[in-house]
Amino acid sequence: MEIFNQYVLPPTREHLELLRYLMVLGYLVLLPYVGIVIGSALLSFFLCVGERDTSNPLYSRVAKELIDMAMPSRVAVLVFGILPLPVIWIIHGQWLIHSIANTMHLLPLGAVLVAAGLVVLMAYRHSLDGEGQNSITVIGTCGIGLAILLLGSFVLLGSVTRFFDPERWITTHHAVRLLTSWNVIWRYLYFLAGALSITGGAIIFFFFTWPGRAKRLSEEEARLTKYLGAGIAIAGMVLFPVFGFFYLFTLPIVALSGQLYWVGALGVGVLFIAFLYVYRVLVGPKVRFGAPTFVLFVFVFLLMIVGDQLVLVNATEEHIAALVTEAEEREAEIQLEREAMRSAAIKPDIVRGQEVFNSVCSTCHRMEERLVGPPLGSVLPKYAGNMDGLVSFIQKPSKVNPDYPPMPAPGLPLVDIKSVAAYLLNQITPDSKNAQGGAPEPVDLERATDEGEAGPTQGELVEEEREDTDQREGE
Amino acid sequence: MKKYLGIPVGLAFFGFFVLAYLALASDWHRHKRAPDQPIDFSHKIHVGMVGLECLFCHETADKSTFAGIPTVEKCMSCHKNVATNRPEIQKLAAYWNAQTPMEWNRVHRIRVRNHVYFSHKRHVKANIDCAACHGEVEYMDKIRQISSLEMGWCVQCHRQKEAPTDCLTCHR
Repeated sequence: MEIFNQYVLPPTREHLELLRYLMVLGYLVLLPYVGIVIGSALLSFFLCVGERDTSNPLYSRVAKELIDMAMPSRVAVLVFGILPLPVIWIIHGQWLIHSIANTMHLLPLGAVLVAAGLVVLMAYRHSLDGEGQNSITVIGTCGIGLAILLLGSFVLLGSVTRFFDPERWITTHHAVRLLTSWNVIWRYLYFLAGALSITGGAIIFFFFTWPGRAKRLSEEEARLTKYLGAGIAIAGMVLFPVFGFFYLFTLPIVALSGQLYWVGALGVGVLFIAFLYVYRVLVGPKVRFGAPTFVLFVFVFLLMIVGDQLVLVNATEEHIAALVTEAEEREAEIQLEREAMRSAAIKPDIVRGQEVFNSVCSTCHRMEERLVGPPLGSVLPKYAGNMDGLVSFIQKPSKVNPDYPPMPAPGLPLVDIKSVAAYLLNQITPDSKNAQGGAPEPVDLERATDEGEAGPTQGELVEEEREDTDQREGE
Repeated sequence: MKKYLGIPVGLAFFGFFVLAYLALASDWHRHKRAPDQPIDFSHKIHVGMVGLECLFCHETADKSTFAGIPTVEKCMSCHKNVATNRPEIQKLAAYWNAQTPMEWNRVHRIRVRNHVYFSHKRHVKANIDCAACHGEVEYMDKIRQISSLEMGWCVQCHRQKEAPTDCLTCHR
């Protein structure tokens, strides 16, 4: 977290919007892929064990085919399984910058474990090419790879799920306690159910409708893979809405919104259509519609990920608002700095100052009367001859008298602020001249704008204001 | 025919869950969504932009168990003059002219409130930041409940701050 806080500027609203899309994209690549690898490795593992018990070479052939499908090449594993991991970490880091989200350090741990699991499974895949496919070492490699991948995906998804519950960022600190809440567990089971169903969809798609592949399958191979694929898909589809329901049910209130449930209901609807396709595969004579079935499962994953986005946005609404405000303030500061650089060139205009006063300031201030703010006749004289002090107060007002509500920054351009300050000082100065019997004369604007020449400096003025406040509070 | 039995079974199963999700949606609208208020008062403007202190409007938070909702009169002390042309302020002025109090809808509710004693005064006196329970209201246009207000949540904070965790502290 510290790394991000140190090096990253507060993101703007547009930036955050872009991050959201990137996050959806990153997850859409990673989650279905990791799901397919988990499902395939699981089936592959049990087939290897089955082959050891029954010595049926069909099992080990299908076991190899399955892991080949999930991990066709090193590049595929790298692109779909490993590259999205740092992307997701960085995006979450940006999203939750300056927050105290306490699982940010667990997320990279999960990512490393996922990557390690994929590497071990890749080794398993290569070991299937050689002799002695059913040796304990081979099966062990698969088991270990699968276990690491399951643990890694649990830590990864668990730490992300924890971002949805800001209340516990403060109260819970222990890693085990963070990851063993019901919400995290249901979320993970929800993902695993999705993983099983998309694996089934992938088997139906890649074994039967992927060009050139179906022909390679012998009749008994086709039979086994068909039942494996359709079976695991239906098992996953049955569990998916159940776990999803409990997951939604256990989410904290801050993370909820009406849309979320609609997305959930839509997801179940899409799942039903996918179910019809898979059911047809199961009972029909021929495997058909592999591609649409698979696409529907990917779509279900997309909806799951969109749901997660909604949850994250709901849960971190105030945090995001704070970030955007920070970015806006930064921009305004830069604007002010720029204006300050041109400041010497900006000449106040009393007529304009009067217009600004009548349209903006007069809502709260009159010269002799208390409205929302104090009567200006009583507070202005201390600024006599100190136009810079007045300008800087109007730019960034600070509370002086506790009897009045604080004055908000008017957010006016510097030229307006200078003009209104000149207008106001002009209002009080002629009076003092009048008292001496002289004709009213405007203040020497040129002189007043030059720094440090007239009256106390800005720093002295702030001191004065503080004393003023202290005195009043003392009273 | 037996072959197609799965279709109605699937329809019933998935249909049930679609209904269950929609039921959760309706529950959210009834119980968990931040309630609409008689006027769209924004804490973002009053706290975030104007910089009012919490106690400026919620005057009794440090004096009473209840934090207190400002009176229409309090609102009007500024809004007789400020932003009078905005529609929400005109609604406020209508309440003022009719001399009727505004009926705000409750946002924060301890679920088993009849069994829980809670005092704002105690917590303000102990220097607990308002945001610790109410969240960063300066960024909320519409106020919403941030904390669960569940017992486990209360107790965890009491433990951290070494405040009493005796049952009778809250259940009396």
